[in-house]
Amino acid sequence: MLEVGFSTPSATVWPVEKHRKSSAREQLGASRELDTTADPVLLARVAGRDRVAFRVLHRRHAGKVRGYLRRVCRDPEVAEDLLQEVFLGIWRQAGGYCQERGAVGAWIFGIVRNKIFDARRRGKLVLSAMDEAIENVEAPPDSRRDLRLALYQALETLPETQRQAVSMTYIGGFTYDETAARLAVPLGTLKSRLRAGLKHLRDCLGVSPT
Amino acid sequence: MSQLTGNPEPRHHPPEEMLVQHAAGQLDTARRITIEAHLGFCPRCRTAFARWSQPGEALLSAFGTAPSAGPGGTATAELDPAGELGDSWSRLEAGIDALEEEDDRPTFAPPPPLPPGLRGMLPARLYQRRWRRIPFSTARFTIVEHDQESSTTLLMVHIGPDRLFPRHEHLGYEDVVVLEGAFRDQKGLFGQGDFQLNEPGTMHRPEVQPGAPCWILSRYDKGVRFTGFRGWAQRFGS
Repeated sequence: MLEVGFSTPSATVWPVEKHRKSSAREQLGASRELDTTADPVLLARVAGRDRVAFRVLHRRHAGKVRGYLRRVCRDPEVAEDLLQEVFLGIWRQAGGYCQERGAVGAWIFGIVRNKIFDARRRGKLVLSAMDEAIENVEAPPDSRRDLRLALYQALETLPETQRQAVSMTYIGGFTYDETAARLAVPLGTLKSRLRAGLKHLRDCLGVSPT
Repeated sequence: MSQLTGNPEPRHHPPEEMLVQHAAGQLDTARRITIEAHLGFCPRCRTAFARWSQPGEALLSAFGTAPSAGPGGTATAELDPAGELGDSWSRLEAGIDALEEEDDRPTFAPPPPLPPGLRGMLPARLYQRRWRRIPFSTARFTIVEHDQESSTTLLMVHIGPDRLFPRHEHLGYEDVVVLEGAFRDQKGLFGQGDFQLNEPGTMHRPEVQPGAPCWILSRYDKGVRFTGFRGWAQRFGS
């Protein structure tokens, strides 16, 4: 396949051992050596079909993705299937990531959202009630406690109409049409509310493209 | 001039609302592909898109702990108490092994250059699908995706250099992304990576520039109506 010669996510791209499927023990040992490697570098290696790097990326992010999916999906088996689809998507699309696109976690979340949308469209996915999805969250370990607090504060300071739009579509997995119908607002109104809400979240969380 | 491709950076971009929709995971597969194709060529839109998608990282981290199984439960997905991530990895490796090779090519021309990662969003063995000709034209196309529910279709189209694509009217919306080459119509010149959004009722006759064939992705929701004798043939054949 001829592909455009785009730059890679990082200046540091390590030699990649392509397509060789090593034993589980070899993989695990090698992956430990990459445990401190930055996400963008791992993703560049995944784009080169490096399974060891992919395993590290999986170990680093699969728990969060699964946790999120279990919170959003009513059926844990469906959540598990979606987890597989998400990581196959990461494997296939890894070359599309570059640092201009922001943090790797945000890029992965985009794939998660798309898989949820596709599953909804196929009628395969029943979503949890939003209250269940957003509330009743276990106390997260250490570093994420502050982040979750900041997120709650950001959500709480949103006007109610924007909070509903963000909660249902961006966090909860409902489609625009479903959300607009439930809130009994025109599609254009919902889009405006979501856009304003996302901008508020972005500002409150103080995130900026890396 | 793009530092990435050596070609001029795109001058025609999708509306920002589409980037917001993409960040919110609200685009159908066909439009997701046209937007991602454009992002692959356009650093300006990649940066804009990153601004809209950044809260996703915080959400994933903050909500990415498994709900407790019961009162007092402390299970978190990251701690993986049941070793489920190992099972997940084994299943994932089997899925990777089952992926089809993707390095196929059309029989009539070299394949277009694709931004990295885009090939992974397209179906396997894409170029080995049936390529049809537009009646009385040299343009060829194949169906990449068709979604019955939303009636959206994504085509990959090849038009030879210095050729016209027949005049037609859009019955619904159409997204076009240029993968290679360039065409001109009444809206201007569209080169590699450019995004064109055509509203219902748009009538145009794209003219491919000399020197190179034009490869495009075209996503439409209600089809097109050809004019002149092709229109007659289209109605007769339907």
